This record gives sequence, C-alpha cells and structure tokens, in this order.
Amino acid sequence: MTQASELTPEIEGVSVVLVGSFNPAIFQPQWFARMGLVRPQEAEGEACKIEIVRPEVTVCTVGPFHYEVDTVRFAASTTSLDALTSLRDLVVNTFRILEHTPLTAMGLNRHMHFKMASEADYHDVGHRLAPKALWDGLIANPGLASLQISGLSNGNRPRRFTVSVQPSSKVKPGVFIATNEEYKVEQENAPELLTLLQDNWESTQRGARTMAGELLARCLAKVTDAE
Amino acid sequence: MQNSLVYGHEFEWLQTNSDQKANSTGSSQVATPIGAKVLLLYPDGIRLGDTTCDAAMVGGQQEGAGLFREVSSKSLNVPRPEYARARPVVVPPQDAARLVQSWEGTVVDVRRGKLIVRLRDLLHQQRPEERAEIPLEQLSEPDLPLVAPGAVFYWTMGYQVSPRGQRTLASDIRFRRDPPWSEADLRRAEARERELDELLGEPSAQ
Repeated sequence: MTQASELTPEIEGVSVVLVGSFNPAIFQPQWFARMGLVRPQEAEGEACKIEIVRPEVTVCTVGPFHYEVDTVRFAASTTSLDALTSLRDLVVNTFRILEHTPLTAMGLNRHMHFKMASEADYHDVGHRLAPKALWDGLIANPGLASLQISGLSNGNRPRRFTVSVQPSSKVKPGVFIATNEEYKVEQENAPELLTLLQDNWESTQRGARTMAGELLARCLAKVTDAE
Repeated sequence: MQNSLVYGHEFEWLQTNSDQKANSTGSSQVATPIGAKVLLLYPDGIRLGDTTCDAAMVGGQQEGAGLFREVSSKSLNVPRPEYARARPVVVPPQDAARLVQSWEGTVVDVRRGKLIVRLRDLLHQQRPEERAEIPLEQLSEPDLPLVAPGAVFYWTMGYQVSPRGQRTLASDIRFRRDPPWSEADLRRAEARERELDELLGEPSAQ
C-alpha cells in the first residue's frame, strides 16, 4: 500500500490572497527594494518583470515573487523552493508598512503536482474520486477533469477549506491538487489578519501537503484493497 | 466612435518595461487613440474596471501609437461577477522543482567564516531542533549584510528538474528581510510593555 509520506509533489507553489482596499500603483518593484523586503538585485534587471503598473492594477514579478494587485484584491505567489516561507514574510511585512490598509479576508493556498507511478494509478485516482459507473450510457469514456470539495478545516477554529483536484498539466501522468483555506474577520482588521497569517502559515502549508498526500494514498489504497 | 479595448494579464495586458514604454502582444491589433476608453479584463473575462488610454499607455509616443486588441463596444457591458474572493492565483510556469527538505534557521554565532545555526524542520514538526555549521560562502551575496546573531533564514533543498528531465540537487538559503521598526511599531511595543507591566504588577519604567 502506498503511504502518504511516500507521495511528494514534483512541483509545488504557494500563494496568499488578501481582500480589502488597495492602491495598486504603490506596489512597484523598487518600492519593495526600498523597504528592504526583497534583495535589491531582485527589483532590477532580468529578475524583475513589470507587466503593468496602473492606478487600477499592478502585475509584477520581483525575483521569486509574483504579485497581482487591483483595487480590492492583493495576490502574491511563488514556486521557488527557497521562497515558499519568505512569501509569508513579504506579505506580512508589506502590510506592516502599509498598516492602514483595510483588509477583510485572506486565502492561504498551496498547489501541488504529484507524479503517479503509472497510468493505471493516475486513472485509479480519478475513478476513486469520481466513480464512472454513474455515467454509464450518458457520455462515452468519462474522465475526471476537475473536482472541487469544500468543507471546514481541522483544528480549534475551523475555516472554509477547499480542495481542487485535476489532471496535472505539468507532470505526466500526474495529479494536480490545490488547497485554499479562507480567513475572514468581522470588521476591516489588518493586524488580526496579519497575525493569523504569521501564526497559521506553517501549519496550513504543512497540513495542505499532508492532506494531499493522504488523499492520494487513500485513493490508491482503496484500489489495492479492492483487488 | 472611440475604440473599446480589452487586455487581460495572460495575453493582452498592456506590457510595460522599466522605462514605462508600452507595447502589446496579440495578433489582431489596432491603433488606440489617447482618450479612448479602455476596459481592463482578467483573462477569464472578469471585469476589473475602465480607464482611459493615456500617454503612458502608448509609451509617450504619438497618439495612436499604442496597439491593443479591438473589441466591440458591447464588451463594455461585461457583467462584473463577484471575483474579489481569496481565490488561488495562477502562478507563472517554470522548471519543475521538488522540495526535499526545508528548515527555518536562526544564526547563533558567526565564527571563522562559518555560521553556527539552530535549525527547525518546517516539513516535519515533530523532529527535534538541530544545530549545524554553514560556511559563509554558501550564502548569496545580497544576504551577507543580514548575517548576525539572531537573524532568521530559510534553508531549502530540492531537485530542480529541467524541461528535459535532468535533475539537479539545489540548496538555497534565503534570509528573512524585516523592515525597520516604524514609530508606530515602537509605540505599540511600548504600550504592550506597559500592559504587561500592569498585568504582572511591576512598575513601568516610565
């Protein structure tokens, strides 16, 4: 039987999404460098890519960090291994500086591409998550294209937790699993959300990884048990 | 009639380089007059808002020099669904990377070209803290000014996998970058100190 601990993502990344009220034009690479939030070299040259900076929206890549900001949403992400935890620091410190930014909600996300040992394992995951017998005679050759399950996270303060499963577009044969844990505050309260980010980042990210591995292990284990 | 325009961040964002000169991508492009109404859309059609084409958008060149994809004016009536959710974002593609190990480290001391550090396993919470020595030469140059006792860093090991499938074991160390304490931070810290003093029954220093 495949153990959850044996299943390690081939590719993974993380992102933080904040909902509130933002001034996108502030978020220029040089601003991050001036504030000491990124390496100076990451805010210039090839490491820095400005896609757009407008009063309505900013989209930039600074070193390993990619971010998109509009007037109501700030999203920062990375797939660089050395920046998976630094992303949290970047976001926390950004809004520690912009301390009067109204924030109302936050999403902590992880996406993972798992390589399956065989095509058979790959199909078994889809079949276990979405049994195809239901579709007999309705459509030919049904396959799982996307599945999203929402519920509450484990822990003392359960939060909305969403898991998405799709075929991987990057690893063949592979399964893509994305998780999203949502945090909300009653009133606009940036310090509370930032404290939640600081305190929950590690456990949320570790939990997402463990959960994804366990989900795949269960899919594959049930196949083995049934055989 | 003024043109109505669309660009999305995946395919038709207004591209600006560090000189703020604009260009665009896409095949069906038309000249955009300054003052034309421009519609900002996400690639999935979600409306971000309206703006007006200005000199910065056409690269400070003559009117009409900016190139954007033309759409019918009906597109300006695209409904705005509820998109301001804490949803995941699309991450730009890159070479595959497989995370093998990740630690949070704290510098205890710097001796004879080596960091003496404490390491906490970020992937396996139950593992005990470890001590290690890391040669300074393993650090990236921009991080050297941050090296001091108490500094926090992240040490990650993983396989970089090239598009051809070649695996390379990579070890990366990135130091935490904290902004300097602001006046407000100091005021909050002092207020917190006073609160704790009162709670513990000790007189405040002030």
